[in-house]
Amino acid sequence: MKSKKIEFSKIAINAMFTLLSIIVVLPFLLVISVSLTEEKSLTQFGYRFLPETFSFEAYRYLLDAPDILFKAYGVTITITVVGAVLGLLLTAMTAYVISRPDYRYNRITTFYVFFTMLFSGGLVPTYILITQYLHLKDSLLALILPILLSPFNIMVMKGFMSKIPLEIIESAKIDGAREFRIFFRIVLPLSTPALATLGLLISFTYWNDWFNAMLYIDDPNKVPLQLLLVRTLNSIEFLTSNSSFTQQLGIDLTAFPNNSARMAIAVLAGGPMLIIFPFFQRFFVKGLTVGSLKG
Amino acid sequence: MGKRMVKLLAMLGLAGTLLAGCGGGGTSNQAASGEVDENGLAPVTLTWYYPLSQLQADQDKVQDAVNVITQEKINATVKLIPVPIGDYVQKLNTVLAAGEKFDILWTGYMLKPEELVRKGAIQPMTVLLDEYAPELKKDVPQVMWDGLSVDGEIYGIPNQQINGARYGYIIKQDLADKYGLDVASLKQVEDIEPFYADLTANEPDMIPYGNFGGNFDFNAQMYGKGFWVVPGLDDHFYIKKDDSSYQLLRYPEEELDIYRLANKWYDAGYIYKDAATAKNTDFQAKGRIATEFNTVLKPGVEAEVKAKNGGSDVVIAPLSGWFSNGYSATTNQSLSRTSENPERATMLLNLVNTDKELYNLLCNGIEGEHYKKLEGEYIEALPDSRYKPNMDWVFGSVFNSYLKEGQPEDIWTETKEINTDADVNPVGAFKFNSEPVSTEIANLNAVWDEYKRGIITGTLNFDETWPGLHTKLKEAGEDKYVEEVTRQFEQFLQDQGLKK
Amino acid sequence: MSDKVSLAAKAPAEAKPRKTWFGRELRHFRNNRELFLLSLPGILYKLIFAYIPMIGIIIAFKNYRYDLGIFGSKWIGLDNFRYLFSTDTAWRITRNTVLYNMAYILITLVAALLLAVLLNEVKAKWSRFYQTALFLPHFLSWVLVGYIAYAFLNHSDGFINRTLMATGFDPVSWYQNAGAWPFILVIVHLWKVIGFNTLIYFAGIMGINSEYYEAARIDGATKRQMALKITVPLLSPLIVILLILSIGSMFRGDFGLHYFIPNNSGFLYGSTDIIDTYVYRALREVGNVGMSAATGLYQSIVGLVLVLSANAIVKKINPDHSLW
Repeated sequence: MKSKKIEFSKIAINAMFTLLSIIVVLPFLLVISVSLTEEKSLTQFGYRFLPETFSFEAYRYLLDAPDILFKAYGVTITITVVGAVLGLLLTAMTAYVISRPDYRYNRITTFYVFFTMLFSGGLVPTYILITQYLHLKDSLLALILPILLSPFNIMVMKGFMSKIPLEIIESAKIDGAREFRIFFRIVLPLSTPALATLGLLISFTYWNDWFNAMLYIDDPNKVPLQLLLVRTLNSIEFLTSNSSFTQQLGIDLTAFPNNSARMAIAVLAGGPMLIIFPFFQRFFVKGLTVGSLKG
Repeated sequence: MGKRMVKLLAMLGLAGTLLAGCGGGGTSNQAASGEVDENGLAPVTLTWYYPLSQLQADQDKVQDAVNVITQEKINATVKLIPVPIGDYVQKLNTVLAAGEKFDILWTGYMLKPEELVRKGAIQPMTVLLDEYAPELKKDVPQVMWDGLSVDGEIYGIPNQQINGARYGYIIKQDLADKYGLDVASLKQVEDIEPFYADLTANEPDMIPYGNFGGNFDFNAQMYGKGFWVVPGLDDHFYIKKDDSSYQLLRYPEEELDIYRLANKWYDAGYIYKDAATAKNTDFQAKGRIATEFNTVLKPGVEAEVKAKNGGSDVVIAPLSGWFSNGYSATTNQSLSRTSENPERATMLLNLVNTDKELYNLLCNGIEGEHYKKLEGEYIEALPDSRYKPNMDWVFGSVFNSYLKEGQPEDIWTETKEINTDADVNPVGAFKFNSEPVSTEIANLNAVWDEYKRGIITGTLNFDETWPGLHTKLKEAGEDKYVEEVTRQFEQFLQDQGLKK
Repeated sequence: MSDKVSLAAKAPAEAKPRKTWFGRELRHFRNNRELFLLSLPGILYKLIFAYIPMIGIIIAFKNYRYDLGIFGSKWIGLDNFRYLFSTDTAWRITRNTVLYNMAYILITLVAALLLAVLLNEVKAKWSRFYQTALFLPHFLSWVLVGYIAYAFLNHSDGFINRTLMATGFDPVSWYQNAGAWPFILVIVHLWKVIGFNTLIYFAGIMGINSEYYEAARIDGATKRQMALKITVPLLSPLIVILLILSIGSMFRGDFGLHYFIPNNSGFLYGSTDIIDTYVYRALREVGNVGMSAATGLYQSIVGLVLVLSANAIVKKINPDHSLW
């Protein structure tokens, strides 16, 4: 029975969320708006939430050389899909094992994984490993492997999985199931929200990564989306803060994508995530519970 | 079940290997096919890293065209690896630190050759130059070779371009006319004050002194005050021009006076209130910048500025003659220590700097596709050209490049004259080894970074701030730093025969 | 399994201790073998991609020369660490790093938890929409956010100043006013991470058996009681894990946030400078691989000490929640 009090609180909560969403999204709206503003009016009036002069010029300019953009999309999508699937699987496998309280090597494995979150050899040894020992320079694997398994993800997944009651697993064992089977047939289905969440997070990590590409990719056909944006912004930053250098050599800053084009790249780079999100959200299903499995 | 698991893993492994296949593999170790040519040269592949402000869409096409020439002339296949300029330092430092094998890299302003020498990253070229690049060796003035020498060995090839600098104002023509400013009468920096006073009184929208935090090099005036800055340090060491004892000065009073002047102008409203943190681009295109203090004043700068400030004419008022350090610290090519073909690499650099066709191919692209030739040496970039890096100075001597619109026909002769006639810094060849004081330098940099923009733009009151700043500097290791610099500088003077 | 146990019990008393221990370990391994195999790919991955490169930590103690490499370069003991401790600034940047991190952790925790609980009350269709909206900031790189922040905060044209002037107040020189920045940075940080954290807690809530809520409702509990007595306690393992993980990074700051948003303005360093930004500026000209490695090691060691302590404390309170 809906009582007035409950109705009110629901409205209040929704209103609060709506307001919050608007505030949070505001800067993004600004980005979109700038990307649709004529450059001249940007220099005259600065950034505005509503374009003073509407213009698709930035997008036209970017899509004029579409092959670069298409290739970048291709690269990003490939590494995201492969990386997310592989990464999620590996993360789940590892996290499950250390979430089992009855696993003898549980504590030491946890520490083994967690230690790598604190300590790192740094850029140079990793670079040497990847380019000289694994020979992955200029290869898509160099974009996938280094961030495949994140200790943070493993620990969070462990947190989710440790809620699965041991009884289910024990009863499955009594029925003669082996660990692999338990993992694939019982644990994974029970962990759907966790898998969806981490799958989402891993996908985002791959989608947004540009640092590995900056280091390992020279072939312009293998440049991912975010790198296109970030390297443009970085180069502009560099040139504007080293003005004596820029001036002496006559580097023409106007040759760069202008303000609206930069924002357009950001929109094109981030936009597709809006499609991926709903895909994963389907799995945020409540209450796949113990109760429903007993029997 | 275990079997299914194994199958799954096997599939993933297969997918992985496929990716590796369609991935890289093909890096610099492709042996160039072909036989030994008529000069007895075996085919090699050379790898060349250099920065570009933006990567070009037709990079591959141009590389192929380049290889036609290089294969014919020196039987070498060249792999050009342009790196976006914002990433260049980090990427190259990593590549070098990892000891990766490659041949040539661009060095210069942000990747200083002398530092790379200290770290063991690049190899000496003295002998190689004489043998494999004799034309190039002759073409470059000796003073530039000296500039790139460390401990007697040459470590880079300068990309010749304008070497001199001069400072002065770039002034909006219409304002100068309106307030009767006689541009030719400006001899000192302060001479412009009456003009500024007029502007503040009558033109509230205009910013009289239009420099901002990121581009505020007022210290260039020290040349006019009779000082030379000692290069390779933090730009606060000077010597007096005609001081034959070459006494090293640290924060001379004249330098501090410049900060006081900036402060005075800030308080008077000549400098924008937020100059320390605002960006020039916010105001320039709106035409709100009345004058700008520029430290290069290249020939042709008027046209450049006019294009950026909304189309108003500007006039320049140089306050000094041309002066230079003598050597090019700004743009060079060096050979990596890991190069397997240093001789051929040197030959390539020689070729780039002497073969006009090759050089312009790198700079401008393919004729007919990326640019069209006009009369004489002039070219015009085709609209929508997919190769226009506009960074001639990255590849080699700009004196070989075709002329672009707006450049006078004799621009290269003029530039060469400026280079030779410019007043040369007598201690321009000084190279500082920063290793013994790297901790102090790191800390001093950090302290200056905090105060720099506030002080140079005059936002902070200099006399009030300086004592505090100086104490912090002392704490950061100022004395040890100065001591080391003095020691090395004295050694330098003795080695150069400037002092007994 | 019980057979094996009794067999072992019947083993001769004078059996060599080592053999028995080894035999026991071998048996334990056989029992755990399948789980071990399941975790093997992950273990191998970490071995290759994390532990092998860790050798590079020795760079922190060396004067790294490019031609001598990791093993050939000279040892110089603790010299690379000096610059981090030799000035007053060292204290300031450490203080800033820690204080900011504590603020970030606490505020994010409270806000994300609150939002996750509230999201649970909203219809699924809407909750997905809100989640997506809250997550959007995650996709903008800090450089880009820096531009946006500049659009809000710049002196002549920024949205905030224009609003101030329009309502009769004086414009504020935001980039020169250090006092405002702890608030600005905390707000911007929260804006960026709220979606991420809310999502994690929300997923945790998804995993809570709805029977608990049913039972509580029947007993007449209010929403607030349910949140406090059911949701939070059941989420506590997750909360503790995230907390301990964040503590491990207490000495590591968010470089992008502290560098690009304050627009690298020296006036603000007093309140915005953290270890990571200081190091970046200090080493930018010097480009010293050893000194950067030393900084990373310093941050790692402190992080380790903090995590070990935090984990030990948690263990005392509730051993189930500790990481190991």
